[in-house]
Amino acid sequence: MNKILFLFLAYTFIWTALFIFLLSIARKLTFMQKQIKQLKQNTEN
Amino acid sequence: MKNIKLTYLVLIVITYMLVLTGLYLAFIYAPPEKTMGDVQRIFYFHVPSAWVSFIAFFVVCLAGIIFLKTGKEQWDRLAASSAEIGVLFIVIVLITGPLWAKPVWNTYWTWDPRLTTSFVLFLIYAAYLMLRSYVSNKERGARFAAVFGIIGFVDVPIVYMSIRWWRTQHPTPVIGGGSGSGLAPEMLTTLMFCLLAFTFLYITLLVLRYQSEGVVKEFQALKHKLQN
Repeated sequence: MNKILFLFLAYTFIWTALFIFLLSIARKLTFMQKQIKQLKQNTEN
Repeated sequence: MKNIKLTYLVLIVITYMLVLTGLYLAFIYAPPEKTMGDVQRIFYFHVPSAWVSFIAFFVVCLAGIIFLKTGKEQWDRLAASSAEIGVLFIVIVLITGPLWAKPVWNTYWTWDPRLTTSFVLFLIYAAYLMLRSYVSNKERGARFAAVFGIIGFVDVPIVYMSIRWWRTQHPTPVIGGGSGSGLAPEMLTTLMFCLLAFTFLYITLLVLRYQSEGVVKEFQALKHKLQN
């Protein structure tokens, strides 16, 4: 295989891994914030 | 609250600019290596990833010690957040390393001391995260995890020293590796800059992860309050 392909694969992996990690944090935060909002509404009612 | 949000924003923007500049230096500024060619550019993100994993596991160890002393939950939260980031970066090291090794050594993997100890480091902290998620009693789990995180850190200096203690296939250290070691000035500048950029990336990820963990705790506290 061409050496450049290995370079491309390595950098693609780095950015994909970081993107997935950030995405997982964002999804978790959105889900939790929704749940907290819902719980707060329930307590007020 | 506004000030905190502004601080996050500034931190994210600084990290973004540093990483972009790091990419420019790694691909445009740094010259290609004589024998390996362009594939050597993996080095500029492979080494900083290892550096970040070491810092992350050091924070796990330190936060674990403080948690065991004080019992304050925020230290446990910091350790858990840092461990996740450490595992992410050690996985990056374990993937980019073999991708660099294949065209240079003609093999993806060899059970060389540096590679083996790095793999063991990954296993230790992967087990740490599994321990945290499987223990039902959260308080006890946090204490177990703190002890595990502290003991696990013993492997970090072993990984670092492995290329000095044993003759390995992995290259000898390029900084402080004795006579014959060293880098061209442009390569050294690029490496140092990427180390700085990745340190900022670690801080940013840690702040974000720590905050998200705080939201989870807030949710659990609110739920507990409601149940009572």
